[in-house]
Amino acid sequence: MIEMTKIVRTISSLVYPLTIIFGAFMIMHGHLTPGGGFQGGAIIASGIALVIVAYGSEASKDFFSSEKLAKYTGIGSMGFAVIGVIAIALGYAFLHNYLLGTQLFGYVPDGINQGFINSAGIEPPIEIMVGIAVSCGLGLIIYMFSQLGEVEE
Amino acid sequence: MSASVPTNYPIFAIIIPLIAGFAAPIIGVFGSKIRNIYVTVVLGIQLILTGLVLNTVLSEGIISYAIGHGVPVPSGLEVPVRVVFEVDAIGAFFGLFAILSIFLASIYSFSYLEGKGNLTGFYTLVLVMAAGSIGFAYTGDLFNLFVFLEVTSISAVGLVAYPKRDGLSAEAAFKFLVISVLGGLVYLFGVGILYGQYDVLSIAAVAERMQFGIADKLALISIFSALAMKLGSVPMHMWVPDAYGESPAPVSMMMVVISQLSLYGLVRISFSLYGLNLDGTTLGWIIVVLGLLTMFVGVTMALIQKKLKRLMAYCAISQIGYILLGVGAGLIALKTGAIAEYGLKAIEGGLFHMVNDVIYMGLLFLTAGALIYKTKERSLNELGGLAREMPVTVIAFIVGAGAISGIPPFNGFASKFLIYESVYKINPFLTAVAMLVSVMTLAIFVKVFQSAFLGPEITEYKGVGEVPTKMKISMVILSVLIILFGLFPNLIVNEFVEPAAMALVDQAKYIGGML
Repeated sequence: MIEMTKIVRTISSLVYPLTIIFGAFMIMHGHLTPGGGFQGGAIIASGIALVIVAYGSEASKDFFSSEKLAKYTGIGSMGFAVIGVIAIALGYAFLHNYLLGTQLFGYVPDGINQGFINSAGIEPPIEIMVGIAVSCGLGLIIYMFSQLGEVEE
Repeated sequence: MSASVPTNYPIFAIIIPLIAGFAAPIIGVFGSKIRNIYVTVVLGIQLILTGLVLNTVLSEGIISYAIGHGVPVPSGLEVPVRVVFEVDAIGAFFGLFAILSIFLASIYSFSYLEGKGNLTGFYTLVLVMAAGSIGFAYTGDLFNLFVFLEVTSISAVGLVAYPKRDGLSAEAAFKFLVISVLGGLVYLFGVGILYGQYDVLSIAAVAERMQFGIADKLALISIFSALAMKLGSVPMHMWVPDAYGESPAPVSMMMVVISQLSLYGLVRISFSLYGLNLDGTTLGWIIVVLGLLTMFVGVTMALIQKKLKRLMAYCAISQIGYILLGVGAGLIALKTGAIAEYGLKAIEGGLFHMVNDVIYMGLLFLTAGALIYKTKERSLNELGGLAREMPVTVIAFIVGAGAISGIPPFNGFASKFLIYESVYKINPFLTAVAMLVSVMTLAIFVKVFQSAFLGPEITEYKGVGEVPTKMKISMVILSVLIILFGLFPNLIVNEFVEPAAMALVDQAKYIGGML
C-alpha cells in the first residue's frame, strides 16, 4: 500500500485518537449500553486500519509491530480466562460473578440512572480483556495483510 | 454444595490448554526446546484430566457443569438458560481418545516440522484445537457445540496451511475453510429453528420439549447435513482428500480426530436430541445408505490414487462408512424392537470402530509422513525398496495396514467383526458390501506396501536411514495400542464401549442428568 496525500494523512491523524477514545468508551460501557468488548475492539482496530491505509505499509511499520500486537492478543485472551479461573479458586463454577455486590463493582441500580461504570461485577474487567484481545487481534490481521507485498501501480 | 474437585475436571481440561495456547507466543521466545517441553506437558496434563473425567463418569455417572453459577449443579428452571457441560460415558470416552491422538501427533511433529520456520503459531493452534475438541466432546449445549465446531475448524484450517510448502496446502486449507464455514452456518440455521421454538439451547432441555413437528424435522436436516459435511461423508467428501493429503502428516492425524468428533456430534444429535421421537427406520436407513456410499466410493477412489497421502485420505473416507453403517443399523434395529439386542451391538461396533479408526488412520498417516520426511517424495511411483532402510516404519505400516483391512489380531478386526455380525441380522447385503470394501482396502495396502517398501533398492534412497526417535515413539505407541485393542477387545468393549453405547441409547438418563 502506498502513502496517501497530505490531506488524508492529516485528517486521519486527527480522527485516529477520536476513534480510539470512542472504541475505549464502547468497551468501558459494555455492561451498560449496547456494544461491549468485541464491538469496541473492532472500532479500535478500524482506527489501526485507518492509519495503515493513510500512511501506507512502509510507514506503518514505525507505528505498529506484529510481535507486540500478537503478545497483547494473547494477554487479553489469557486475562479473560484467568478472571474466569479465579472463580474456581474461590469455590464457584467457572466465570461465576464473584465481584458482584462488592464495594468496587456493585449491582446495577434499577430504573433510570446516569450509568454506573463500577457495577456489574466481573463484567467490566472481562469486557476490557475482550477489548484488548479483539482490537490487537483484528489490528494484527489488518497489519499482516498490509505487509503482504507492494502493489504495482 | 460447594464445588468439589471432580466436577471441575471438565472445565480444567478445556481451560488449561486454552490459556496455555495463548501463552505459547510468550513461551516461544525461550527457544524451540523449551516450547516443545511446554506443549508436551500441557497436553499431558490435559490427557490426565480427560482420563480422570472418564474415570469419574464411569464410577459416578453423568457430570453436569453450569458455567458461571455459584454451585456446580443448579436447581430449578435456571438450568436451560446457562451454558452447560454435560459429560456422559460416550463424551468422556471420545474426549480421551481425541486428546491421546493430538498428544501423539504433537510429539511426532516436534521432529517432523523441525526447521520449517517459526512454529510458535503452529503450537498455539494445536493447543486451541485440543481445547476445542474437548469442548466439543463435553458440551451439553447446542450453541456451544457450534462454537467449538468453529474453534476446531478454524484452528484446523490454520494447521493445514501452516507449512508454506507450496500453493497446494493453501488451496486445500481454503477449500476446507469454505466448506466448514458453510457447514457451520447451516448448523447454526438448524439451531436457530430449535431456539425459536423452544427458547432453550441445552440439548437435554430441547430434547425434553421436543414436539417433532415439521420445523424440528427441518432443523434435523440442516444439523445432520452440516455435520455429515464436516465428517466427510460421501456426497460432501470433496474437501477431505485435499485437506488430509496436502497437510503435514501430524496435522492429517489431527484432522481424523476432528472428523470423528463431528461423527460423535452426529450421533449425539440423532440419539440424545431426537432419540425418543425419531422415526428411527427412516433416519437409520439414510445413515446406512450414506455409510454404504461412503465406504464404496472412498475405497474405489483410493484404488486409482498414485499419491500416498491422497490414497490414505480416500481410505479414511471409506472407513467413516463403517461407523455410519454400524450406527445407522443400530438405530433401525433399536426402533424396530424385534432385534434391539443386535442394535446395541451394532452401535457398540460403530463406536469401537470410531476409536480404532482414530488410532490406525493416525498411524498410517504417520508412516506416510515418515516416508515423505526421509525421501521428500509424495508419489508412490517414485518410492521403492525402503524396507531395508526403515525397519520401524515398515513394521508400523504393516500393523496399520492389517488393522485397516480388518485382519486379526489387530484392532480393526475386532470392531469390524462386531459390525458384520450385528448388521447381518438386518440385511445380509450390508455385510457383503462391508466385507467387499475390506478386501479392496487390503488390496490397496498390499499395493502400497509393495511399491513403497519392497522391490529393488533405489540408489537415491540408499542410506536415508530411520526417522528420528520422537517420530518412532509416536508410531510405536500407536502400534502397541492397535495390537492391545486387537488382542483384548472384550476388555475395551466391556469397560468403555458398552457404557458409551448405553449412554447414547438411554436418552431419558441424558435428560435427567441435566434437569
